[in-house]
Amino acid sequence: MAEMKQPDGVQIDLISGERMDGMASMEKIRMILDGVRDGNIVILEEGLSPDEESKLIEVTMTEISPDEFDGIEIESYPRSETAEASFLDRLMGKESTKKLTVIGPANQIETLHKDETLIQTLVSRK
Amino acid sequence: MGLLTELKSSIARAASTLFSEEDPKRIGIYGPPNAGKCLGPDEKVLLADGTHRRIEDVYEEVAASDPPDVSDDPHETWLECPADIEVPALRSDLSVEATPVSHVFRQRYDGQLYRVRTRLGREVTVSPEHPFIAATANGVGTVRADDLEEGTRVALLSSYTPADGAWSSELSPDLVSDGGTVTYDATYHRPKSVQTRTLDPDLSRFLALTIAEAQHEDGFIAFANEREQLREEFRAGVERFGLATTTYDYDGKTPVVRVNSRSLTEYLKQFDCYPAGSHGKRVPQSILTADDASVVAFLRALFDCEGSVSPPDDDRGRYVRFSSASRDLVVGVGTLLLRFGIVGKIRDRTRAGETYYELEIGRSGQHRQFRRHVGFDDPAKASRLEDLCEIDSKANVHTLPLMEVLEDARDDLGMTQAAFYGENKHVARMCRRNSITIDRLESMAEDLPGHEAVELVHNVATGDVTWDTVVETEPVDHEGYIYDLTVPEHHTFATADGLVVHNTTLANRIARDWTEHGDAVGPESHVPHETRRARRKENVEIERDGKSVRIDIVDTPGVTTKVDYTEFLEHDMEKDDAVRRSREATEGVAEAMHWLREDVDGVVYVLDAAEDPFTQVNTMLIGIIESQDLPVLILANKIDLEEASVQRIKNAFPQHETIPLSALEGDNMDEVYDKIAEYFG
Repeated sequence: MAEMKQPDGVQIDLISGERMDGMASMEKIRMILDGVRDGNIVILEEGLSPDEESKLIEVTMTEISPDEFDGIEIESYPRSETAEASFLDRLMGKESTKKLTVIGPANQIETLHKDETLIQTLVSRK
Repeated sequence: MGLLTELKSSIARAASTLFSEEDPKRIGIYGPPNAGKCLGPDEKVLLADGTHRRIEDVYEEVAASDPPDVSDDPHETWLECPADIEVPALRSDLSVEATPVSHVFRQRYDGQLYRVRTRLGREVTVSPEHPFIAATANGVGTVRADDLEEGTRVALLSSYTPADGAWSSELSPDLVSDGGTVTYDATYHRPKSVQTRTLDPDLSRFLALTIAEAQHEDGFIAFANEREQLREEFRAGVERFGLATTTYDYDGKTPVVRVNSRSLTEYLKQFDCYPAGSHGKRVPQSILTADDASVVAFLRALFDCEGSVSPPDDDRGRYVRFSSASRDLVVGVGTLLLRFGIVGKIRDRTRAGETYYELEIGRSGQHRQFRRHVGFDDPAKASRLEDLCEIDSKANVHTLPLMEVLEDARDDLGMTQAAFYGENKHVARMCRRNSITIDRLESMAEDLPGHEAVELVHNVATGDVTWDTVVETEPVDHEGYIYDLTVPEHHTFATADGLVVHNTTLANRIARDWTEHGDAVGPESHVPHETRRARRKENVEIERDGKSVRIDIVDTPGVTTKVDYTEFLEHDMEKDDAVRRSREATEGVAEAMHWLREDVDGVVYVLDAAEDPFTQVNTMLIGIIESQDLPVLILANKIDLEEASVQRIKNAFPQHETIPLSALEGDNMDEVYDKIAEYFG
């Protein structure tokens, strides 16, 4: 089968928790969306807080534009047992949000499998 | 009074003060969108003025005026109707009332629909979830199409008076009007003019003769009938337009009276009487909306031509029949007869490879109604009808499975069987079979007191519906749009052949089921104010045991992280439309996320119990809701579906209370209300 030669691959940005710690919510969201809109896959070591997730969805929605940007695909490990045990933590403001999160352009990334310990995704070139 | 009872009532008092004095809580409803309860595009609905319209045409007509689309789901369109569309709707006391349609609804649907057929020959194709009004062991309520069984009794209109609405139509552009005459505007010759007329019994009879027995084309009408009297009437009818006829009478052929006039055939279109082959005939809209005298003249002429009366000893039973190759014509005649409380059975038959349709009037009471209101001019048919009316015919005896409900009512009233049922003969058997005839209910209604317990008996006896029996439900594949109407006041409308169906409410979301189904599923609810986009319902009042909880409901579209407008293109949508819809969807989701952070006091999260709850969106949303410390109630909806699993949802979100329910069927709504009061009150 003849295959078109694609000179460039897919860029993956792996962003450490440390780097994210120093950023405000909207800065994080801007960084993620800028990366994704460039066709990159963004992997966050420690994920986003629920509040940031809701803002990410909101901002994504406002940026969706026909033939240009269809939105994002986002996957993270499901929060398992920690949710039950964390009531006290939550009261103390120590809620753990550390969960590896993968974000990519909706038209380039497809989740193949997900469970509490494994996320498999298929990334295609645009 | 025990201490415990005392305590309970003081809590109730405290609760009611709390609820009534506080500002309403704003509760957000989040969750995935649902499928609709709809009719196929070709289904015809009965409008209050007596006319029949394809539901798709009703939708398109409303859409043409570019009304606001209040749907918040990109796959649906939900248009506000102009004020003048009304349908006959069934009230809770089973009487029929002309009621405004507030919205027309359209949804793309690729999947199975159900074609439902009844013993009286009615048929309708609806989505699996579409509810019918049915009499079941629990009384009169709704039953979804996919739960209908052979033998289920469904409501069929049995009498109905059209609202005033004289038919009017524009004069054909091909006609030149000159005072009292019109003339076809021809290029090469000067056709004869016809005298204009208004619809009266005389003209109605002429239209009926044309429809029943004539070859009707653009340019001529040829009326063929063996009976000289009818030919004479047709000729006289033509002469009233100022035209002449020619008669053709050849050996061995049916004599024909013919009028050649394009002016006439064009002018008859003014009355919705169009040239048509035998399969395409129908009752003109002018007749469907006409006064009773004109309708009677029309029916009588049709029955004179195409009607028959079986001789008393006919082994096919004792019937007054009307037959035609056009089902539409038969259905239209059925609608006209409803004005006189006559319900016919529609049958299809095959003769020499051709299908034709019959409307059968089969019961003595109905024969007598027919004689009284319509009758025949034809002396032979008239005398046969006289004979038929002398006999008591028990064809089409309708029974209802209401004995359990009735026995409960009898207990409440403390009456003996003999007093309650009029006589106690057969009652044991009726109980065993859970079956009582409508005749019996009607005679009981005359003697029973006007007590709440026996309201159903009175309603069934005096209502405007009869009960037809489902004989077949057949799944059919459908790809395309499906449609529905919203009738806010009574939630019902009828198909052209009279089946009463439940309407759809915006998107069937749980919020709408609370606010619009209130009467049907238990606690009462009131919606005093609805905003334009129908996103917020303010001051929804839910009454529980005498106290009321007021909440504002914020209903949101299904939350997602991506919207691709090309998905809409695959659903036959124009690009502009698809882009607009996807933009609305993104705005809706953005707004929903914003509200979730800023503007709600509690969340009802509705999940489809038949779907996998472990999706990224569900997990994220529950996480977001938890982080806001909002009270959340998870509703596991659609438990009526076989593949539903409430446990799967409980396992997914063990930290929250999950309430199973079927919003559609109203199952377990009591618990839902209790929990709302508990969580958000």
